[in-house]
Amino acid sequence: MIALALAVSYIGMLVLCLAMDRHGRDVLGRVPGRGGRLAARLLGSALLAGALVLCFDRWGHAIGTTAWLGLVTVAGLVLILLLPFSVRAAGTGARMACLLAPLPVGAMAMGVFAG
Amino acid sequence: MAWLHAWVGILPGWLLFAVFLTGTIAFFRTEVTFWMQPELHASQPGPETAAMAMERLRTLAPNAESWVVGLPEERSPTLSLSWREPGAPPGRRGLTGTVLDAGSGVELHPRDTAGGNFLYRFHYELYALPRDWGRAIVGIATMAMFVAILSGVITHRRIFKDFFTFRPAKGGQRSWLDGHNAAAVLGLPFHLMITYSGLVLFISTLMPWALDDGGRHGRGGAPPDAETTVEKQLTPADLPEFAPIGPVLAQAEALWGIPAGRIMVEDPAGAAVITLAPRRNTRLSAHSGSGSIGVERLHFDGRSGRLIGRDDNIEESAVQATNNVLGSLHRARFADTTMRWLFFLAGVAGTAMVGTGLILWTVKRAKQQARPDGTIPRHIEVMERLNIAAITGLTIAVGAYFVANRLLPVDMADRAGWEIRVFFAVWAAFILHPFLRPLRVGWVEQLTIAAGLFAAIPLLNMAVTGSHLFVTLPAGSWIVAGFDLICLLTALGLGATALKVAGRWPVAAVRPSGRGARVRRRAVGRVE
Repeated sequence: MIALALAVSYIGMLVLCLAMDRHGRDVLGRVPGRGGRLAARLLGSALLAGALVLCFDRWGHAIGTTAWLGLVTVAGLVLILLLPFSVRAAGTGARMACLLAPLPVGAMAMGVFAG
Repeated sequence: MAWLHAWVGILPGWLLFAVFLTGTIAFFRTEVTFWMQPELHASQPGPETAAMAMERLRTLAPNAESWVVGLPEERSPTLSLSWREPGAPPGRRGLTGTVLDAGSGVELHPRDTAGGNFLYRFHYELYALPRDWGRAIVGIATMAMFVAILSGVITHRRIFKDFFTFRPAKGGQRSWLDGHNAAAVLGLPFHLMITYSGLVLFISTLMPWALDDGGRHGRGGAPPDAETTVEKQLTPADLPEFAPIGPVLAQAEALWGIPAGRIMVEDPAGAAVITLAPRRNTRLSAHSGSGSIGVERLHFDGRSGRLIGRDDNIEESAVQATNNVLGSLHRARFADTTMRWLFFLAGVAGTAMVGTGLILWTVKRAKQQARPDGTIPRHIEVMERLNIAAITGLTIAVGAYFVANRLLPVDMADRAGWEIRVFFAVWAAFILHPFLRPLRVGWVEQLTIAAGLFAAIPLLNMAVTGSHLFVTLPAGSWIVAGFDLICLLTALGLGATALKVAGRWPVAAVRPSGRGARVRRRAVGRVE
């Protein structure tokens, strides 16, 4: 569950970073348009919110929020260290995270329905 | 604002680097202490550990006023027993104790060391200074840190625009600035929290007048009148039977959601009230306590095992609850292993933020004020030498502290004191060293020595203890293995930095569009 929350945070940060001028250009090869930027921001924020729900599920609201801030920080640090060395490495990181991503979404859905 | 940020950052910066580095390690102080006592490493808890502890105390201390059992847990898998003999002074001083292998119950004799506690205490009250002085110095530096963070957000306002920017290949001021910004902005929630809560924890030192009793609160009062009556000596057989401890612990775990970490028995021969404390705080707003354990308690009747009371110390006042949350966050009192790693990593980011900030200060000024012949003004050189002393010098001292722990004779008198003396002697030597060497050579030598020391720690473990990586990894002893692995990782990081500073590091640069990596070699000048 923790690894999944970290994976979701990582993809969230990566998607958010695509919406920024410099990083969009570096990763995608072009500055994203207005629509693309908005979509990336919405998706990125949604993913981070998803990670928060996962943290609530694992730790409760108070400690979960603390854990979430920590996870997002660590996810951001991993991304920031990967980006300059290889855009591909950052992308591979995202793909690995994507493989895990359906699981937390499923778990989240179950958590929500179970109460 | 840039001026404020630079000066408020540099002046207490050397101290702040030490506070951040030792404080970050202190998140794992129990684990560090465990690593520093290899005599304990074989201990493996079993299902009967708690019951064995109660039996053992009955034999060891039938006459005691109270018993305390420190149960094995994920941070330290040993069993510690202590008790207070009749008439013993109050507080920890009056406790007699022993450490056992949690599985076999064999008494262990760990080497004398201050362990992680030395680094923990150093990070907020330094060493060998009157306690209030040390606290006041660190407190003032903390205040400066807080100002530096707030002014930094304004000075480096581009951080939110270049959120993920880190260009190590660019070299020079740009790379250090990127590193400083990245470590600062990503860890910003942590940096703000840890600095502000640090100030709040210092409140009685920094603002003694804010407290009703002039800051003397909680510093211990007069000891209670000593019992003068000498009671009949009891034998273990005189003690009545206790309720089985297993179900009592199970009740507590069901109520808290986490296992108990400590069993306390008051008046074992008489009323025998069993009090349990959880391994860690179960709530963020619980008081963080001054000892290693919080304030949440469950009380049981020792004979029947029935729950007779619960202290949650739920604070009515929002101010007190806020104070508790801040203290609890700073000390990570509620943190399970995962959370503890998150705190540690954020602490590493904080240490990197302070370190890169210090380097940036001199790099920027050296560039601005370089003379036509390439030399830089003397005061900037001095500042950079102090940077070496504070950053790599301290790192070497910490490494030497761990190495001393493995190399000093186990039965040496005042062994714990000698470990600390090694720490300070080595630091003093490496504060002096940069003043005797050219700048870049100073950096490279210290980075290389630091890398060598940290790489030596796991190897040394192999030579002088039986709990090295080839043993601890297969056995899954993660506390010891984790420590060794972090040492190796630290050595790699320091070694890579040494190569980069020496100008021998091929920096892989990626073209912006990601069309392929272009490796270029660049000789990096002085640390720039």
